[in-house]
Amino acid sequence: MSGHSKNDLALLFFNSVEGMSQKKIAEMLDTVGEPGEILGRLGAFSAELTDILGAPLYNLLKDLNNADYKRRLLDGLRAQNASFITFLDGEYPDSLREIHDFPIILFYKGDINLLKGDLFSIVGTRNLSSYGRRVTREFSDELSRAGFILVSGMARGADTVVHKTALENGKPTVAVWGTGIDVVYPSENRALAEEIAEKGLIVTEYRPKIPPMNYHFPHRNRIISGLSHSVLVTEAGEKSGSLITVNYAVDQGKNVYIVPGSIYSPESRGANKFLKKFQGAIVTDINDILEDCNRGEKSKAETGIVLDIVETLIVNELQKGEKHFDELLELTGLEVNKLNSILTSLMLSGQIEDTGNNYYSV
Amino acid sequence: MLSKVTSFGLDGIAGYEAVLETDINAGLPSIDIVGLVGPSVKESKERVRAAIKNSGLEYPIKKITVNIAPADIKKDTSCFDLPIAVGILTASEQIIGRFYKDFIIIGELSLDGSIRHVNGVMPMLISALQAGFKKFIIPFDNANEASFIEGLETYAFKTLSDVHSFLNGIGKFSPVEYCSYAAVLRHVGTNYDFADIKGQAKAKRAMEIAVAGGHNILMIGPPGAGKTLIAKSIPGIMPSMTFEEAIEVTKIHSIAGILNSDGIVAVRPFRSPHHTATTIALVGGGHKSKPGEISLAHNGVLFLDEMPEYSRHTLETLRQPLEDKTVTVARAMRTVVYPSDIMLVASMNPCPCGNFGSKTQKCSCTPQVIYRYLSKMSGPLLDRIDLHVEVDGVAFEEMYDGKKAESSESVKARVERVRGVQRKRFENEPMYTNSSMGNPQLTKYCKLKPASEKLLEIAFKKLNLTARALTRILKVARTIADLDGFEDINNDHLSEAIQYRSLDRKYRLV
Repeated sequence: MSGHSKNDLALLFFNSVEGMSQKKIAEMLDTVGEPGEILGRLGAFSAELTDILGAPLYNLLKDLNNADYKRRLLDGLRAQNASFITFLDGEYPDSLREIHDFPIILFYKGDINLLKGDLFSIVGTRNLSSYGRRVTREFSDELSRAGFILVSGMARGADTVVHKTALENGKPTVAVWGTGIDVVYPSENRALAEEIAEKGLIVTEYRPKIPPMNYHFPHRNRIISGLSHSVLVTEAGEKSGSLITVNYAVDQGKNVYIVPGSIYSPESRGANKFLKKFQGAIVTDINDILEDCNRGEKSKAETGIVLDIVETLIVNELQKGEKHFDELLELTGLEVNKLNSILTSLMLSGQIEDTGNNYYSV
Repeated sequence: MLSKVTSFGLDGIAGYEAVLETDINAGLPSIDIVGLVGPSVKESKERVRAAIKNSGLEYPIKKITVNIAPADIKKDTSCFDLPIAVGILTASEQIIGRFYKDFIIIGELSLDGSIRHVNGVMPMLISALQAGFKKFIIPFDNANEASFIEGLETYAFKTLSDVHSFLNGIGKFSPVEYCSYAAVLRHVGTNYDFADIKGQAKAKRAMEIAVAGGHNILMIGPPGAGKTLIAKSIPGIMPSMTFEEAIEVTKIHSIAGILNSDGIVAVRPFRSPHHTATTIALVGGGHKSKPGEISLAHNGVLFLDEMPEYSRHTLETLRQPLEDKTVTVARAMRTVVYPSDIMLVASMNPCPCGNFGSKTQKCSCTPQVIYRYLSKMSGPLLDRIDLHVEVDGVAFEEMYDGKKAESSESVKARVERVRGVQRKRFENEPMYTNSSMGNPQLTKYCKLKPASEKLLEIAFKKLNLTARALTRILKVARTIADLDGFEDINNDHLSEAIQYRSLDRKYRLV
């Protein structure tokens, strides 16, 4: 990686040392000087550095300050097909630099230029209900089609749906991890991670080999909101981490959108509670967001499918809300076999969806 | 003096002729029973002695030796009590004449001289009849079993002293009367009727299809949704058993000792072993090579409630019997083949807590837990289940008020008709139902029109169906077409069949 400046490489070095925290690096830069300068003359700043870092850490820095160690750092990243940027880089997004406690270094895989794009975060619970799944899918679908680059955290549930939907639409997507760039978490998303690295971007502030720790994820949420101009929550239970993202987004002055859920569903309790606080954030239609972002209205696609009377009746009824199989049976007066086959053909033409437990909806 | 009495023993599901020789001679008073006998037969000497004495007869104070031939079959049954007693009575000349030689004698004795019920009388009688024997003496409690077999002269007794009188030609005893199967069939009914199940229209329709085509079926739904009730009603819509089928079932139930008081099983069995059932309990075995639940459910329904809770190994052992429709229980002493032609009905919750996909309850399971739960059902086993149907709680009770659903009787009539259609179709094939179709039959009997092929193709892509699901859909569509009385499968049939693959469609976790 030849494109890195002396300062970048110095920050990579400092960041790589066990025991160095973001806070210590920041303090060092504030009181001592430029990172490249410090690294070049470690001995000269011994008094100031021992003061900030403590003697053991300072000695460790001195021990590791050799060409071999630094080369291994870069080789390690190269082997992973990964690279890094620091806050001193031109490529570092301004939107992120503006937030409190911004990461001084970002490791990445994929196309770093995506960070300059029109980034939109969509987050939600890990335990999606069928309602939440549908909301997440539909909004991800519409927003990625509208040209936004979707940002999420690649966690189970909503995040995964977001990334997958974007990729299915042939659009790039950005995943912000809470682990080292070479640690895929959750492991079942390995294939997804590879696809995102290829067609989109993965970023993380954690140095390689850092395993997932539960406190990483709330912390990295500030990057998810920080990178983008807007954050959408599709479904959030009472303790969902996506609510932390909302809090960050509000602090950072981003647009916040929240989709309300059923008042009975525990998986919607968190989102609904936040909606009481941020009433302007309510989103009930994709056009709410598109208009807000000056994208104009979603064009009503002409389906070109001609429905017969019974099919129209069913679709019209379902537009009022989801219905149980038995309700539809009562409504249409059809035989079970006939209703079954009509429902299948409506599902195949994409008019309705089977939402589980014999419920159907448009 | 020496005497010879004929009896019958059971080896697996078939009976064998056992000859009991009794020799009474001078010597120290004792009794020895030889001929590879197990504890049950060894203990019978105590029962026999007490029974003879308490019947007011004389127990010879001499050396008694009983040999049970053939001596190379292990005998561990109490049904030789009565023949041993008769042997002693004849050898000691308390029963006079040769009349007793005409009879096969079977029965267990009680200390007071009464004759007790024994297991497996029906298969013994049938084997004996095939071997050319016609006259029998059996316990009174087993009389019903004998009454259904034509061409027997069976006498059923309550006490040893009655047998003693009968064999001596004293008193008047009449043989067990023949009772036709049709007469029993007329008065049997099931306790569970489809008419009593409110709503659940989709599940009921799926059951009808499953029974009509002999398909195995899986119900998915939260606890308390009514899965068990639906399963219990299945025997009521299955076609009535023919006499031969009933005899097959009765033989197995007789061996297992669970035969009802009718003496014949006229209602298709419904077995629902608990999920802690061991492999042996399910497929059969043990040192006596007893039939397992899968054989007890022969010609009926094996219901596995909460299927993923069964041990994986136990479930896997079901695969071969489901395919072959027989189960071979091989043990060191003997190998027994039991029939196991069953309809498998399984039920499961959508996840361990049961609330996955629920509208009102929170599911507390993580995706991995659900994944692990579902993966308990291996692919090869799921392969043998053609229909999946979701069953949910009755949410709209008021909707069904005052409405009477269709009764099992009329559903059964349709099922019988469709079974007839299939019998005709597979006249020259080694199968009876659509579910047993292999690839050659699928291409022959499930030809699709171009429009239907197109539909299947779209469904395959849109609904993420597996290749595995495709043949299942075809078979089920064939049965649906049969139910509707169509020669060819059309789009309607195919579309409906697609509805019954919910496990393929929905439980894909993102």
